[in-house]
Amino acid sequence: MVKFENISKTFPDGTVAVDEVSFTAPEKMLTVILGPSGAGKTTLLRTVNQLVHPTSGKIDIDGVEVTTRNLKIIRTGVGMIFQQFNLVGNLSVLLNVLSGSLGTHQEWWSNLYLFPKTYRLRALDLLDRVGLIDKVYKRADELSGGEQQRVGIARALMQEPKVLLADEPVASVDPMTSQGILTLLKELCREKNLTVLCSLHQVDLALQFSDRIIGITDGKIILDEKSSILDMEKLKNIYNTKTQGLFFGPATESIGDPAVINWDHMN
Amino acid sequence: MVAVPAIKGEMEQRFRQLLNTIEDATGLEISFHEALSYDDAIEELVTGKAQIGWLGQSAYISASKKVDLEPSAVAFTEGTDESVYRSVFLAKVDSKLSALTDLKGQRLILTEHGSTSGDTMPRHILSQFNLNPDIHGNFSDVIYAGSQEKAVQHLLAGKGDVAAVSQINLGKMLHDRSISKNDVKIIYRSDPIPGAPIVHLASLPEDLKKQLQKAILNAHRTGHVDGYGEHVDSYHTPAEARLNFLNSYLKPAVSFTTIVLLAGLVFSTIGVSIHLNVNPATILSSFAYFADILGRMMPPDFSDFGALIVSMFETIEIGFLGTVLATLLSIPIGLLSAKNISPSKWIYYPARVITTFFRAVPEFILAMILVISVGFGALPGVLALGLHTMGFLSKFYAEEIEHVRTGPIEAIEAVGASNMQKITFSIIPQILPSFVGYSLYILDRNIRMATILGIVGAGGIGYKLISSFRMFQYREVSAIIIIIFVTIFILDVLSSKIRHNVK
Ligand SMILES: Nc1ncnc2c1ncn2[C@@H]1O[C@H](COP(=O)(O)OP(=O)(O)O)[C@@H](O)[C@H]1O
Ligand SMILES: [Mg+2]
Repeated sequence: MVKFENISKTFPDGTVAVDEVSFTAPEKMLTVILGPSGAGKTTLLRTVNQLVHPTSGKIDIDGVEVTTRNLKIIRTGVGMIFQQFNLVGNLSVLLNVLSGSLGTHQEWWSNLYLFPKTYRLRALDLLDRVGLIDKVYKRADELSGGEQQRVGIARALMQEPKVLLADEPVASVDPMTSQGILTLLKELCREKNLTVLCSLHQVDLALQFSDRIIGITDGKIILDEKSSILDMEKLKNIYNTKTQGLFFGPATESIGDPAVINWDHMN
Repeated sequence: MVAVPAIKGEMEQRFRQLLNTIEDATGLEISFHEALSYDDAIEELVTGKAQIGWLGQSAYISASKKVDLEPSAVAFTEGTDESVYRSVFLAKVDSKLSALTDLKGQRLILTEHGSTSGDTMPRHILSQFNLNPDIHGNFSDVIYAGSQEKAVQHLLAGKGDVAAVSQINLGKMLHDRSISKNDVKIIYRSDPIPGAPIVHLASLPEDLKKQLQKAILNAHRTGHVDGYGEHVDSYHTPAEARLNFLNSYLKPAVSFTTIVLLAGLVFSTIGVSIHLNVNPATILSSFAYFADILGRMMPPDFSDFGALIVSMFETIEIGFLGTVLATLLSIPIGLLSAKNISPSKWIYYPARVITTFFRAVPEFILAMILVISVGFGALPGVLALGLHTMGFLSKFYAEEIEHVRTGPIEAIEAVGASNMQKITFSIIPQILPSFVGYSLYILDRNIRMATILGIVGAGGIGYKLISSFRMFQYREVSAIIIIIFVTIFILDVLSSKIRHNVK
């Protein structure tokens, strides 16, 4: 369970990316953060594991407040998957997944790419779960986009997280593959009792896969409802007025999104 | 016990030995029955007509939704410790089909409704390839042959173009020679399918369930076992089967090659040290002499400071001019010695030879030769450095150019640009940062090397250094070393600042 209380983020240049956001994402539920490009989705998700420090407000994970003091422990329990997958291309698929356990496996020999057998079996188990058991010893950059994202998911699961953050997980893959990835995320959410926070900009995918939709524009929540009671028309009406149709623009966000580039230079 | 007709008419024969062994062990009497179809088998467990079953993987999953089933044991194949099998897509050997992507519009043969390897799995795979058989237009015909064997026969008889069957049935047909390797080819192999367990109703009495499971797991110890699969030799719990499956993918954490390479490195280091008489003891015992020399170098003597600084500047100037020369020469030679843009091999190979030659001859030797031919002073130093490092820079640039991303080049080519424009718009922007970086690095290096070149008479502070040495003025030597050190340090900081800004 992740509880956001009055979270705001103002960047040093004055941009208000997130503005007084409060809601609670329960476990075993796939909560979609829906909004157009620049709405503040990435910033909001990143406040959970403090890759972005909120300017004000407070975040609780299972009743424990996230602070700078317990940050390391919190991060071990929060898995993250990325739009660009962020795999280490010239390492094997298996090592990429194993790297997800580095938060708990900190012996010196981990730096020689060595992991206990139990860890390796667990990584294989997860890779089988995401359907990649026959590719475990391939280099990660030899896989297709969809397969790479599955590796990303397995890597996140390797942490045995309680919370899974997925920032536009399907923005770099084709529509068919998107369906497969989101189905997998939803199944895993149920199987492993995860709290999944997934940002998307496609209304149809949000309706199809989410349990609940939090709509944001300009950093503010403007919609918060169970997906089952929402319909496309309702969403369209709300979004058309707020975003002048931007929302139903191209189905994928460009890779050169300035927000994405900014992040790489942040830390 | 009921089983699905995975191999039609043969299921009883497949399971009879196992059942006999169980009957002997438990004293129970178990009747066996091969269902007419996958759906019938499910129905018999749902109604309780059968209490034990073997359903294959996907019928097991659909049955689990209707009745509470528990898996008790999974079969392992003899010798392999494996409990998995695969679906394969077959085409006739002479068919022009060679991959799933070729299948659009063809005629598809499946085995039987509900079969894992001959129906559910192939459908799942085809959907992933955007060829869902239920969608009109993907296949011109979809035929259920009725059994795995018939599916292959249909394929050979030309009733369809591609057939999906279980690797186990294919192996069996090859084994009993009902088909030959020269008849069919495999165009796709599925991910591993977990071997299906023998299941029983969860509602059976606890001790009966335990007794049954124990008998199945121990069957291979007391008698013959068999089942669905090639050469089943024992049964194991589902958890054990899973672990075994994962274990089969486990490789040793440190590979044999790594160990051999590391051992080789250690041995050659030791061997070479012995050969060269590099003895750690000698290094330690010569410390006394070292301390003596150091003592005589102290304190440094800066009395000739002005002259030393002038020489230092001369050295920097030699390094700088040498680098300018090297950079200017390396642009054309680098371009001409890059395989992907060199105009012809008659230019490429001579350019390569030139760069290799100047890299191979040390600048020290070049300088000695040049001192003899053009006389003492800065000129031989500049020429020696310029020519030698031209060899290096050209090689760096050529390699950098050979490894540029080709996408941008194609894009520029596609708008109709000329060859020169292709270089200026797509290659140069890509290599510019490393071009500047390498040149700055070479500058840094040339200034250090210019110091040494003074020793053979090519001017600068090196000349002062060797003179002081010859006259045993060790305190002046230490002063010169300090000046060189400070200069190099400052240059280092400056060049890393500049390089950082270029990126
Ligand atoms: N590091 C940053 N510095 C300044 N502004 C930023 C930074 N990162 C993001 N922004 C701005 O914050 C707003 C929200 O961005 P973001 O959270 O990336 O939106 P989304 O993920 O919904 O596309 C945008 O206006 C973006 O330009
Ligand atoms: Mg974003």
